[in-house]
Amino acid sequence: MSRPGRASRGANAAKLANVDWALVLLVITTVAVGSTAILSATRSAGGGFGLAAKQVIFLVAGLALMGVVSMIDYVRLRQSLPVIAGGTVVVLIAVLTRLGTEVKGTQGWFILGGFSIQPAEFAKLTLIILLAAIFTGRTGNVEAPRIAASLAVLGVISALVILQGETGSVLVYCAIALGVYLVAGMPTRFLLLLVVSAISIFAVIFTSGILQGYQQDRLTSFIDQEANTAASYNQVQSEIAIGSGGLTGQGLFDGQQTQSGFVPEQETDFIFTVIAEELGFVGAGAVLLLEGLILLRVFRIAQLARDGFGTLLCVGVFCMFLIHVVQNVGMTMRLMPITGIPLPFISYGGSSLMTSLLAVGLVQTVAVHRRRGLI
Amino acid sequence: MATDLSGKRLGVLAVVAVALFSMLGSRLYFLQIMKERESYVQSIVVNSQRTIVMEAPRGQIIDAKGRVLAGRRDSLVVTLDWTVLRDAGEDTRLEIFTTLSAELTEAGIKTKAETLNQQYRRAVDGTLQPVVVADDVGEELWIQLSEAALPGINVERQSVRTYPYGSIAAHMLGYTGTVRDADVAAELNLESDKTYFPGDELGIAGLERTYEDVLRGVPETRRVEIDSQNRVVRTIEVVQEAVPGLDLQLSIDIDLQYAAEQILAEELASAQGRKATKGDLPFVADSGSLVALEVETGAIVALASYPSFDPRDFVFGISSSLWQELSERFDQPLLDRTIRGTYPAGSTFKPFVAYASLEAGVRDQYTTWNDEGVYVLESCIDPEDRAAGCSKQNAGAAVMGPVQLREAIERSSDTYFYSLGEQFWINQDVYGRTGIQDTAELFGFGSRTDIDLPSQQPGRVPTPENRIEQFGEDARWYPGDNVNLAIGQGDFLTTPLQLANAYAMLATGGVRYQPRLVVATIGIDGSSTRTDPIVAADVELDPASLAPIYDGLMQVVNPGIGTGRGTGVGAFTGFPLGSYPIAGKTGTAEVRNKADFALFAAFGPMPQPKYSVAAVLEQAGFGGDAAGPAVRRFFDLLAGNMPIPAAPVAEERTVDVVGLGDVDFSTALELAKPDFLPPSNGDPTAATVPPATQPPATKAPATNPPTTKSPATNATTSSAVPATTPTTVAPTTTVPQSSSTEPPTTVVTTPSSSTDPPANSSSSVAGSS
Repeated sequence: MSRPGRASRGANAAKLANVDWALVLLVITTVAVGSTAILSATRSAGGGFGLAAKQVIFLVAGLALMGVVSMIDYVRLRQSLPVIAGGTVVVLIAVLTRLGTEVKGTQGWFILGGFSIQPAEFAKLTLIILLAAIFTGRTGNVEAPRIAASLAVLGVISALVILQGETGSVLVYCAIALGVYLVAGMPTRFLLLLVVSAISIFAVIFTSGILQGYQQDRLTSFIDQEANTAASYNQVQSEIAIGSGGLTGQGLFDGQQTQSGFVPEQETDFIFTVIAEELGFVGAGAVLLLEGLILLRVFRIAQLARDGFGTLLCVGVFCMFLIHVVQNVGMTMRLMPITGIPLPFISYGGSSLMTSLLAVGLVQTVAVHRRRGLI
Repeated sequence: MATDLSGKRLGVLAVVAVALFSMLGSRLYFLQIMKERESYVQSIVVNSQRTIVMEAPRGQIIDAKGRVLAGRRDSLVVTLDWTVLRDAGEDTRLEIFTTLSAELTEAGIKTKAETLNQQYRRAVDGTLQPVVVADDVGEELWIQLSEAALPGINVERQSVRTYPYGSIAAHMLGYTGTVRDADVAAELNLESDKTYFPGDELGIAGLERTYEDVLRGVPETRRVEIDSQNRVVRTIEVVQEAVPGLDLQLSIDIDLQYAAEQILAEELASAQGRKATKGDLPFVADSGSLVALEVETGAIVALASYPSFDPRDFVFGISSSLWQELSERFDQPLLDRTIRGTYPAGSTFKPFVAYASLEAGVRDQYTTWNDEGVYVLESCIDPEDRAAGCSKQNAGAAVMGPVQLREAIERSSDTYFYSLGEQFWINQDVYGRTGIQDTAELFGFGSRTDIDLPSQQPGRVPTPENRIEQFGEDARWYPGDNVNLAIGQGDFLTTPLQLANAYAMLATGGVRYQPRLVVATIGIDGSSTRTDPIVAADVELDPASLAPIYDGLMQVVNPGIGTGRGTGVGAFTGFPLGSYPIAGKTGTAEVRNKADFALFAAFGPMPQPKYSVAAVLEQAGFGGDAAGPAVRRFFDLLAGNMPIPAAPVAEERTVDVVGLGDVDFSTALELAKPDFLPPSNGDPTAATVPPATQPPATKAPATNPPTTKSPATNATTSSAVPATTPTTVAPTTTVPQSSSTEPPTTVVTTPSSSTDPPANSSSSVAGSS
């Protein structure tokens, strides 16, 4: 890539032509909508343009990273697997030490020069790459070792993240793994077995007391909707806000619930509520549509990938976005329990947005390096 | 297993994705389009608007001269806003409580973080109002807490009760408590139009209770807009302006009230020093009452009940331990004996029997009765058998010789009245079956005085009929019961206030007023509304019958006009009876297993009496020795013979311990309801102590059938020894029953043997001085 020359220039032109520009446009549009919502959510609390502006900076930086990743042939990722895996584990351990910082009960952050970085977010990408690689190796059809290896990867990363106190991400890891297993062709009975085991593990975690009080509250309040906990209070407030939005909303910057701060975490986890209250069904529906179109593009690229590795990379990303959207939006409408899972491209948060944009980068490199013509 | 590039598995993934998105979309559609948007908008209004209710200042209680007996002052209180604390999260909350408890403790208000957390948790369950966690904090702490800026912790100004005279008049003033929770508030709101919220002040006892609706102001209600931190953004509207409660003006002069309490306490103390007369029962003299009222209006002059308590202990929420102590102490300091203590009247009842006799024509005033010291019941088959309750004697076995009515009253001849009692029964077809009882009821015995105080007792006038109602068909009425009744014993019970009011009716010649404390209500603008005296009974008593009774009563205290052997002469020695003639009567009531109860009731000055005064000193001996001096000393003040000392103002209290405010007053409140019915098994309640332990079972035929041999009464000593089998006497006493409006009866009607007639009459037929 770095070599200049006619041939490479031509190759680069072909690559640029292969870039899924629609996906890029969708992503930028979605982040723009999200930033506007962040602005609305934070300016009444005295935040001014601060967070919204930061989000735009993250977007620019993230788009650059995405561009770089898009141009690297994803096949090369296979050569760096030990580095990616090892680096991720080291970082996830490091964050548990004094190098890391605890924020809102989660020992999962590095604070660097005014920016906070959450490794658990980036670990999602590691998981996607590793799982995709495991199931497209050249070692033939030895299935049991592959499954074992994939479970080991999933287990190690999940364990490290649980140690941080960040359980929401584990849900995402599991969704990614399930998606990859499905498309990788795992026999249905194994899939079912895995699903059952996963549910059992969650049940054990829920009853064992590993969860902190507030996490327990969230799940309890979801199961028992009448429970009078802070968690249920938050969801009730969120539902009120969404319901009061109606068809066209109360108007941008005019949502009463939003502007008087009744909706919790409204620039991050409950950002969808802000949009639903202020822009109504039209706005919230549009956000769902944007997320859906992004998923559609990712899905299409998965179909067009030149090899199984490319497909599985896209499937991993697809599942990641899907579970994020379903869990986050579902939570604001009391369909899901409360977890700290952000809405991709919309919620405020550098690590989250960077991870999403890098994930789009992964998808783009699959698109760029495909053999067949676009669509 | 290989990646399915053909897309079959990808298709499954797509289907899952579409299904999940459809779920989200339909939920969104449901919430935003299908559901009534108005209900959510309404919720936002509920969310962002709060109704703040602030209690209006409580009315004051002042005495006849305008001195404040129950006042109010501003206090800085620390409150806890649970909505903010809830959102803060548990860790932060505990941190806040730890800091706050440290601050409070340092400022001298001992508090634990755990206590605060408990209060918080209770608030979350029930109330919208901020919860007061510390009262009466200093300005210094206020500044400190303001600087600490703990979320959800505020310092506010609140009006609190003051009782400037401490324990003086405590029983009549009563005390307030706080509405504990939403349930209590809801119940209160059914009855009152001045809405209660948990934490609001509420009158529990005394006038605070009776006049709760008058004293309580109308709370200020305003709608405000708040943000998510519960900070008030603006007032939307003042729904209801605060209207302060009305002030109450009482008929009493606090100095006189104080004097009455002092006299009572001092006379009890000196009774303790006297030597006991009856067996070896000591003069415990630990409790009593002194009542004084104006005969022409019913206005109370003094209502003293001893022992007492200090309503200041209740101002910031009484601690559970003190509450327990007060309510369980054996001498029952919370009990207002003037209206809830019921006692045998003893000889103070004789004037009413005399009136009944004169009216019925049983014996006229000039008929001489030969008092031989012993009265043998005519109803007894064998008059010689003096053992079985057939013979009853005078107190101290005195032999008075021939007496007429005046002297019988003056010297308190028991045999004179025994015989009247039996005559009423023997000739019941002439005088009516309940001749004495009807007269007693005419004078107000047996029914509540309806003074403006809660939970008063009606006393008891026993009749053959109500005995059966109470104790069953087997509870027969014997001639001896009539004999006992004639000297105010048997099952007869009166409260000190009833006694004073009956004497007041005697004094007015037929008008009996409803006793009352509050003579006026005063609005915040100073406008005063006086309440007129309420006539409870207005009958034309026969002046011809009253005259000899007046004479006899005056002779009781005045040796100059009588034989000089009046039972009250000693007590009134040195009293200027010439210028301030007094008519009075001693009473020495028999109570099983206790030293005699001393009573004295009097009115004066004759012939136009102004005041009626009665005193009952429990276990204090002869009426003339213990109660007489108390009444005399009070008349000294009324007549102006002695200066009235000024009531001392008590020190103002500040709080040093935060009570949880969790004392359950509900039983006390129940009690205060006028039509309260006693629980079936009479469980002990908060306001009073469980009834004194009752001796087991008991039956004392007033007149034993002559065939029954009983140990003979030792005629030479006191006739207090029940003239029946020793183990079977029912006490008829003063034991104030805890929660019952029924007369405190202690009779058990299980027959112990078939030969004994079931009965329940009280024990001791005997001497009254």
